[in-house]
Amino acid sequence: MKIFQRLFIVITLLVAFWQIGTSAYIHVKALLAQQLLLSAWDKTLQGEAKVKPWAWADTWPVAKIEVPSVGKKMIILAGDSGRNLAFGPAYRFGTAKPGEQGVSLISAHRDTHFRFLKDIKKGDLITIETSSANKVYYRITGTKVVQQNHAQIEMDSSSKELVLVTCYPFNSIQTGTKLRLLVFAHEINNSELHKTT
Amino acid sequence: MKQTLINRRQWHNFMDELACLLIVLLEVLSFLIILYFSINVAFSSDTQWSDRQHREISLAEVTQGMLLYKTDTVGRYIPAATVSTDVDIKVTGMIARAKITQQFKNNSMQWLEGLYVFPLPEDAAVDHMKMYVGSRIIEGKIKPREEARKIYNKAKQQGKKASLVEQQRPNMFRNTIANIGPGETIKVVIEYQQNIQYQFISNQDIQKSTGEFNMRFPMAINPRYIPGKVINEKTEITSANNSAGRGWAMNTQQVADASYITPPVSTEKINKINLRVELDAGFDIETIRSDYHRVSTVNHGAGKYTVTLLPGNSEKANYADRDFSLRWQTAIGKQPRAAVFSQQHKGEYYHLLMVMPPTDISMARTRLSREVIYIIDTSGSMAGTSIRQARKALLLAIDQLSAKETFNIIEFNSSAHKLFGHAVNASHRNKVAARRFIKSLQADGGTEMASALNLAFDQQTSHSETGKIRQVIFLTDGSVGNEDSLFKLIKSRLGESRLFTVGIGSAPNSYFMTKAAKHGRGTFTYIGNVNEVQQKMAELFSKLESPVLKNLKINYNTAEKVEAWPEKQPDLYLGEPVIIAVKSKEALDKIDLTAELNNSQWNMQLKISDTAQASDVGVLWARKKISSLMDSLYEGAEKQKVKKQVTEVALNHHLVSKYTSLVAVDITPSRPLNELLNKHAFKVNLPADIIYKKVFGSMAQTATTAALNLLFGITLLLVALISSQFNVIRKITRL
Repeated sequence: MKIFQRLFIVITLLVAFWQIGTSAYIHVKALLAQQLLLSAWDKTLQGEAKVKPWAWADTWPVAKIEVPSVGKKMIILAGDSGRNLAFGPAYRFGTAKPGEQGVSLISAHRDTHFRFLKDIKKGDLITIETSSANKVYYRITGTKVVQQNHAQIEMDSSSKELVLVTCYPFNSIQTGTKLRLLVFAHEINNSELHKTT
Repeated sequence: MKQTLINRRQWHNFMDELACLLIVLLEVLSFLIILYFSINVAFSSDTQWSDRQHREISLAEVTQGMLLYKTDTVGRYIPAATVSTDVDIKVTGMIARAKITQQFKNNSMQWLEGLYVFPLPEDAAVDHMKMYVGSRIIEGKIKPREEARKIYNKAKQQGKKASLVEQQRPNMFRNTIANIGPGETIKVVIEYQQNIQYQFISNQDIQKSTGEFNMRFPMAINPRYIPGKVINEKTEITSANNSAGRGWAMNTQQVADASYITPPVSTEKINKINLRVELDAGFDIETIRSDYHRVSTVNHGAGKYTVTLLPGNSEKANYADRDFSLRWQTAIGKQPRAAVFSQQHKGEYYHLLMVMPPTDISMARTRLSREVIYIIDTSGSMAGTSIRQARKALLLAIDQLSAKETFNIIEFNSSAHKLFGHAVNASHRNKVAARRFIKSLQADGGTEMASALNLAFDQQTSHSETGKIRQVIFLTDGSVGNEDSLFKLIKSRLGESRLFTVGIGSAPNSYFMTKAAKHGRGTFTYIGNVNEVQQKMAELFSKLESPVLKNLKINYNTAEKVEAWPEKQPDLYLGEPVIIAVKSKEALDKIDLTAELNNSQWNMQLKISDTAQASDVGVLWARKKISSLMDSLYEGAEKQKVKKQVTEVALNHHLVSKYTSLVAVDITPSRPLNELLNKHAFKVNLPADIIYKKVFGSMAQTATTAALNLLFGITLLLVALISSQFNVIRKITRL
């Protein structure tokens, strides 16, 4: 009886630590990867193309996103595959490269990198630093919650636009959720920028 | 001593109470944590309110082709209406006549207007439509498109049953059926005619060729990629709103009818189909086979066969989810080299001529010096089996290049990329690089075909400069909705290049493939599954390497006016026949053909006196005329003039075209006018092997398991703590 009880406790504890560890690992990986990406981003700014942040990486940094209102800075990766999203926000191939003309679709996890999207509001400023060290300023124009299967995003644009995508709702423990929060942002010119800052 | 004992007991009690307190504390804590998460979950479902509203709209999409009908079983829904199809095809020699019966069944308690988009062969001459309402049969009449629509709308408003068959693309039609009553079934029969594809296939082993006939019946529509900006209803002046066609796409500036050519897609297999072919080949057949369906074939002798579909291995019925293809071959050396089908109609003579140029030139074949540009479609609709077929085909093509030839590869989905900066020699090293590149190709994203074609037509070298023939080989499923602008692009930028399309997948857009090849002055090769890649590519290679029959001229030996379509014969590749439809005032006796082949002249005389009489050759002639007139639009012909000419010939020959539709209206109204009429867009199958999420896209999965892991971990931690204090708990409960 006692042995079974002990065994039960030990196994339960092990599973508990494993689960908590997994959770922690996701967050730690998300934080650590961004640190490693910073040096890769520096090299990119110095003109190196497709810098691998670590030896076995199959992605590279393409831009740096900054949201001053919530004090967040992050490196955006190329390709929004599940593996890349563990390391940082990623833009979808086929959409415009962040900072370039057209609509860029940038996704990140709601639990880690894009958790801050719950705190942003219309009119907030977003800065994108491109690989040529240019800074492009955007203003958040609105948000929308959509069913990922039914959503239609207008991808053709003559101006620079961002669509930030993350899972919704934020405080859910469900993983395979069908809902996405879309945050839309449009480029603003410098004069407009000076007016507001 | 005693004192200490008591003290110890007191101490013990104190400890017990402390443990008890601890457990209570832990319980409160765990309760709080669980409460926190459950509130979160509850709260989150609260914040989903906006979405729930969205979902309700989806469910209540009575007008959006999503109308579901509740059954007695809880949670089970059946579609409000279903469609099933029966296809009967009679083949006589080189002419096929098909009868398609569409049954629309309304399972709901409401009155419905059904919208059904369906594929037909791209050269189908649709000339009859009948609507069956109970015991009444109403014959469809051909009318100019706008007029037919008006007749239909009037009938619809009066509560009369009506059916309207319109052409969206030469290989995509739309049947709109008004006032299907609750529980009712309406049957619509559509008839078309086409000529069967015929070519010579050379057998490499014995250096001899056989004749092969191929009849295709498309059953599925590959979801089209719709490029361009959505037309803004508020700012643009458009007659209808931008989703009037009830499809999954909205009309865009590049595809103005996008909502009409993108029928809603079902994720389950629907739309049962039966098919039966009565074949009278007119000669003995060596082999007959169906490419993609299980069939039963009954041989009646003398080249007569009956072919019927058998249900698939795992299914009880056949569903319209892939194209049907039937092939039959003559014995070696027994293949017909010429055929004429004639009809006398309203004092005029119609002839369909088929002549096969010599094919035994392979012996004297001088290998052409070539520059080959390969384009491979890596868009989402190519994901799965299709990209594997395409990769295999491309690898074969690279292997087969000789070192003197130059080549390049262009890959495209949402944007296009070249492998090499410019065409390079097919050296061993370059071939290795190409192979590695091909093997790494994955399919995902859009189908921006124009950018790929532009890349291919850039950097054109002239033949006189390099002495090389430039061939562009284009592997794709053709799933695009902007065919018009692509044809224009090909026509204007082709230069000295030749474009060869290779169709991939279970339901490629054959209209795009054949016309792109025609405007590109090349050929179309169809590959339906991986096993065919080797043989089909070999056929294409022999075409690519053989001389072309050029400058075909025909003398009809008559003083009267002769109207022949196509007006100008295209260049013909090895194994391709000359096919011409002719209308003349008097019976033709003999026809002389001359052409250039391999720098020498080819002559042939065709006697017409003893030809096979066939009905409806006139219809085929008219269909070829319409096709040629529509093609002239890409050569700068005036739109209004073409529309007038096409309308005229279509009305004369009772044909559906871009500008003419078939409409049938019941005599008496059936829907009481106080009953509402709901629109129902019938869903279609996604073609077999197409991957839904690769075509319609899905956003990245942006939720991690972190929160779930944490909750689970903490709960287990609590369970462990509580069970470790099990004895204490028992003690307390005993107290």
